Amino acid sequence: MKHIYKAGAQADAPTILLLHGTGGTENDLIGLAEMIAPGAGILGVRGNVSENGMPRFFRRLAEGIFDEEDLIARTAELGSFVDAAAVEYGFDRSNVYALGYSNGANIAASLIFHQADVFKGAILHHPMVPLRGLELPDLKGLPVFIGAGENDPIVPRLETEELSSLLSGAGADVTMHWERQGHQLTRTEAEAAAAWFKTQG
Amino acid sequence: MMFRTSGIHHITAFVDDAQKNVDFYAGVLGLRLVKKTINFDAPDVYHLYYGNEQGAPGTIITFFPQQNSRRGVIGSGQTGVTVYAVPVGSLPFWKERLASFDIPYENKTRFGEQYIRFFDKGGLLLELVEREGGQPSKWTFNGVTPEHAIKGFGGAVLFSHVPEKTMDVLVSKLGLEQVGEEDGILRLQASGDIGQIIDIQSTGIQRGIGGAGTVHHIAWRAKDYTEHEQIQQDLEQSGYHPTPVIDRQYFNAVYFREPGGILFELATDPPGFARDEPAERMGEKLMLPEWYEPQREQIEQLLPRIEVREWKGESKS
Repeated sequence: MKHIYKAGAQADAPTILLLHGTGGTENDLIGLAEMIAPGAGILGVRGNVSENGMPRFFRRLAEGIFDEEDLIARTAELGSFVDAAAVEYGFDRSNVYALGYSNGANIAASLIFHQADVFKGAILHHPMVPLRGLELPDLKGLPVFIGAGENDPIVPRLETEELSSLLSGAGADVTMHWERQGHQLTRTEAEAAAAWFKTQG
Repeated sequence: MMFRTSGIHHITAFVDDAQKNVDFYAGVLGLRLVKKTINFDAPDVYHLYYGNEQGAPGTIITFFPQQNSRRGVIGSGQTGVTVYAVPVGSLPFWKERLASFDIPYENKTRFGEQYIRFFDKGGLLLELVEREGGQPSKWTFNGVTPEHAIKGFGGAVLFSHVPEKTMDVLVSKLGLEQVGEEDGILRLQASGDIGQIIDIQSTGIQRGIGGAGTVHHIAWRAKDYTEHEQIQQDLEQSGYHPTPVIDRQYFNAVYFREPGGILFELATDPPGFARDEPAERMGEKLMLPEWYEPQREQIEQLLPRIEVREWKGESKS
């Protein structure tokens, strides 16, 4: 997968996996990651699916309706990519946090749904429920920050709440942050994510 | 000048099997397949449009059929029931017709009108109601003649999380009027003579989940591009976060999710379906947007084969 890697300031610094929204690139969230986790390593990845020339991590049929087969295959593909990147760049695979927005947050959530220890923690900006009817793994103590819009036209409020309770129900430690700026990732939401990340040891 | 939609422009839904979808909407309901194109985001998935002989706004239902796609759940936050208007006196014909295709239906009464409610073969909830308004369809297919043919939408039943808020958007932004309330159902009316009666219901409805067998969005008519841009700006200023205007080949579109959870679209009457093929040949050829034209051969191989056929039902064909 097309990507960018920057090593962390110290050997024990976490690595932040950057997952962009539709139409984004591997560089999109670098500034956000530097704000949230100064000194962390960065692995920015570009989605392998093209929607009218706009990169995405998996295919959809319309806003909110995913191609599940493709989502499951792309989830596995991204998981393997991160494993291989850890070997190639020599970062600690057990100290990776996901940072995703929109389509990127959806595939991060899908990875968590499929594999308990895929991340040490996750910051999900405006995610949806990636899959339904899955038996979630034991996510005991997995820290997850969810930023959402009460008036997000793409993600209905109830869907955000459904994702939050699915994750909590599997044992994750979910922190919710609500905004009123639609689907936008605002500065205040980023600041809330940064404050949350500081509390992660 | 306050914006007033005349009613529903089209309704778009997800289903699993493409041929089953054609057999139902063309074969059973007698609608015309007015356009055969693809999902621009997933070119191996059809986008099928059915309507009256010209595919006039207010008669169009559109589908994305994808084999083995996840089944959704009809419920709140969705357009729950698609209501079709048939000529006065034709309900007995339709009851007999549904029975001949082994399609069970239920008799319903709302606001003094008789409805028959049934599921299509893809899991969508439909109703037929006799209405005076609307032009008779000129399309004749598989035993449905203009005398009985569906004229277009009678309206829809919206399953809202918060009916009062859904009503508020429809009244204050889209210009419908409240005309009744009964058993917890709110009834609104738009200004047109087709696709204009909208009921909003919330009681006793589980939460909807999008997927095959559910409506994705309901589109309301804007009569021209100017009016369309104005309503987009109005929604923007009122904090509904609409999308920008999107060119959908046969109409322009703006989407927003209303506070009751239902995805709304505003769609323009122009340019219509005869823009890229002659009216008498509509629906026969796979139409592709020009950027996909170089890949026509691969795309046609990916798509399942479908045909509009004189179908008599599963047990009889």
